[in-house]
Amino acid sequence: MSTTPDPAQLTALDSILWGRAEQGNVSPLRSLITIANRTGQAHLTAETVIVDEDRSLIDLVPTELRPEIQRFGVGELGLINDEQGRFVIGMYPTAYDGVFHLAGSIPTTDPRWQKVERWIGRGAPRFAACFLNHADFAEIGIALSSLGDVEVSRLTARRHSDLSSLTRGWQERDSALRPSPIEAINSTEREGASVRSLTIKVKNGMSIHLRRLAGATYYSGDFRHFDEIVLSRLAKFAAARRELLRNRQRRINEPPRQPIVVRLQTAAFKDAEATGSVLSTLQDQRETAIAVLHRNPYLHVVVTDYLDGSNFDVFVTSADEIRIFPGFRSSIGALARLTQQLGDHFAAKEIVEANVAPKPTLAELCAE
Amino acid sequence: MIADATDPGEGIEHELLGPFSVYDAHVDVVSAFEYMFCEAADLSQTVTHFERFPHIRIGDKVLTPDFTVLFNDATGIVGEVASIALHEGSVDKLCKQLMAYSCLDVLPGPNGACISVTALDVLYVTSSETGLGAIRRIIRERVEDPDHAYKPARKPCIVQYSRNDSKYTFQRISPQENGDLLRTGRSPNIVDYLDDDMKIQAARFAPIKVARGFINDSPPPLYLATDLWTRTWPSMYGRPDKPFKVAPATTAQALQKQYGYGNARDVKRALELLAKAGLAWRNRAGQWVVSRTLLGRKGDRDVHRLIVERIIEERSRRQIAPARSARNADQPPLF
Repeated sequence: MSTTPDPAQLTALDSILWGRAEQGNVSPLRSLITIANRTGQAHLTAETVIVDEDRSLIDLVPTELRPEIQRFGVGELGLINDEQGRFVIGMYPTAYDGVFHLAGSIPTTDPRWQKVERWIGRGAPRFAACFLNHADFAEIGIALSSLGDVEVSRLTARRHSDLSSLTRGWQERDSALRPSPIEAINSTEREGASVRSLTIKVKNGMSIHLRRLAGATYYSGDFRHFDEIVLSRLAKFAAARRELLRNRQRRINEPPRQPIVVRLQTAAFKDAEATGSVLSTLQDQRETAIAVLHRNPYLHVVVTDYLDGSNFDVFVTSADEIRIFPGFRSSIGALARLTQQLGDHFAAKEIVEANVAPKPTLAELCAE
Repeated sequence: MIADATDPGEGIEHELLGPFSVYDAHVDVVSAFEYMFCEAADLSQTVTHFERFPHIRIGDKVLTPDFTVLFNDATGIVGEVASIALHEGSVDKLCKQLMAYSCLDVLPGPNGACISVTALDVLYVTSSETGLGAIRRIIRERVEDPDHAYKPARKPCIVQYSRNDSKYTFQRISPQENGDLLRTGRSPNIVDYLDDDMKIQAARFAPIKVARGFINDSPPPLYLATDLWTRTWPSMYGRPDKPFKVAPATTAQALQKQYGYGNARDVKRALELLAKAGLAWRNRAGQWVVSRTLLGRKGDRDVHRLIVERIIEERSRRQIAPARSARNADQPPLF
C-alpha cells in the first residue's frame, strides 16, 4: 500500500512527481523540468545504464529500503525510504532497448545519490554503467557547441602516466571566453590525460555536468537541449555498447568471435609491472575470480564473474590494448562490468570489437 | 601423489606450479604452429590438414603426437613438444616415441581418416633451456652412437623455443648435427625460417589458444582444475550458489565439445587435486561434489596459486589432526 511522503523530506520536484504518480499521472522525463522550473528547483541527475533484460528498480534498490514503485509503461518511479531522507528515483526508458536513464533530483554529491551509484555497481550483471568512448564523449561536447558560446568552468581528468587525478577550474572573465568543451578535451589530452567530467555553461543560461561514465546533471537552462543533445546521445552510445557486448558468448563448433578491445590512449603496458596493474584492477572487482595462465612476457588471465558464471580470457599482448575473448557463458552485464572496470581505470580511448587483421604470409609473420 | 620435501609447502608448490607453467607454454607452442600452418596466407595453401589432437592407430597401438601436418604433396610433419628430464630414462622414452612417429606412413586427414604419406619429418620442439642438451642427448649420444638402438631413417629435427617480449622464437639449432626437414618443392617451407629466428607474436595465436585450450597430452591436474574452476564449470552451471555434483564423464564431454580435448580420467585427477585442497569431495553415494567458494575475496586471487595454498594448508591441518571423520553427504568441509 502506498503512503504519502512527508514533503519536507522530499525535494520540490520529487514531491510533485510522486504526488502525480500516486494519481496515475506520471510525467515523462522531459516534462519534469517544466514542473521543476515552476517550483524553482531545476536540478536533475541522470545515470545512463545498460540492462540485460526486463529489469525493475526492485532489482536495483536494496530490499531493506522498501522502495515503493509506480510503473509507467516500461518505466518506473521509486520512492526510496532512505535514512538520510526519502527521495524519488526514476527509471526512464530511452529510444533503445535495454538502455535506461536513472534520474533523480538530488545532486551527485548527495550521499544518497552516491548510494545510487553503488547500487548500479552492485546491480551487476543485471545493471551496468557505461564508460563512454572518447570520441563519443567528445561528440557531446561538439554538439553542445552548436548552442553558441559554450564554456567549460571545471574539468576532471586522469593522467595516463600514473593514473592520477587532475582537476582544473576556470573563472568567468569579461575579456574572453573560457575554453569550449572540445578545446578543454584537446588541451587535456596534450598534457597526457583523459577527461572524465566537464562542468559546462552555455551563454543561453544552460548549465550542466557531463560525465564520461555515462551520466549528466542538469542545473539550469532549456531542458529540451539537455534532453536532445546530452541524454539522447548518452542513450545512443550506451545502446551501441550494449549491442557490442550482447551475444558474445562462444558457441560449440564455432571459432571465437573477434575479441573486444579496451584500447588505451598511450602504450602503457611496456613491462611486467605495468601489465600487473591489469591484474590488480581485476582483483578490485568484487565477486570475481582470476587465474593467471601466463604472466610474462605477455599476460593471459582467465576472469570469472561469480555473479553469473560468465568467463573471459583476457590478454595483454601489446602495450596499448587489452583483448577480451568471452567464454561459453558471457552475459551483457558481466562483459559490461569487466570492460567498464578496465576502461574506466585505464582511461581507455575506446571499447570496440577488434578489427579482422589481414592474414600475413609466413615471411611477414616472422618479421613482425 | 605429492612427494615429501624438506619444506613441504615449497615442495608442493614446485611440484604443482612447475608443470602448470610448462604445460601452458606448450599450449602456446602448439597454438603458434597451428596458427602458422592454418592461418599464414601462403603456408596454409600448402597444407591439407593440421591436426591438433591426433590419435593414430597402428595395430593395437595408438600414437598421440602433439600435432601433425599433412601437406598437399603427400608429405607431412609429426610434432612433439616436450621437456626432457635429467635422467636418461626420460630421453630413452622420448626417443622411443620419436622412433614410432618416424615409422608412420599415414597421417590424419581433414575428415578424421588417416591418409598415406610418401615421406614425413619428425619435429621435436623443446625449451631453449634444454635445446642444446637435446642435441647432445638425442643426436650425439643416441642417433650417432652405433651401439644405441635409436636409428630412425631420418634424424628428428630439434627446434628450441624461447619467449621474449610478446613473441615466441623458434630455432633449428646446431644445423650440422641436427635433423633437417624435407626440402621438397613446397613453398614456403618453415625450415627456411627455422634456420634463422622464426618469431610468432602471441597476439597472433591467442585466439587459437582460447579456442583449443589444451594440447594432446594430459594436462597437469592443477592446469585442468583451474580451467574447470574458472571456465568450464561456470559455463556449465552459471552462478555458484551451492555445491554441485560432478560426473567426470559429463565434464569430459563438455571439455570435448568446447575444446576438442578432454577425458574422464583427467577430470577425475583434477577432482582428486581439488579434494586435497578441500574444494571437492565424494559424498556417501560416491559422487563427486564441488564447492563453489570464491577463492581469495581480497588481494591475490590467482586461482591456481590459491588451490596450491589450500593444499598446503590442508596437508598441515591433516598432519595435526589426521583422524578426520568421514564427511557428510553434500556438505563442504568446515574450513
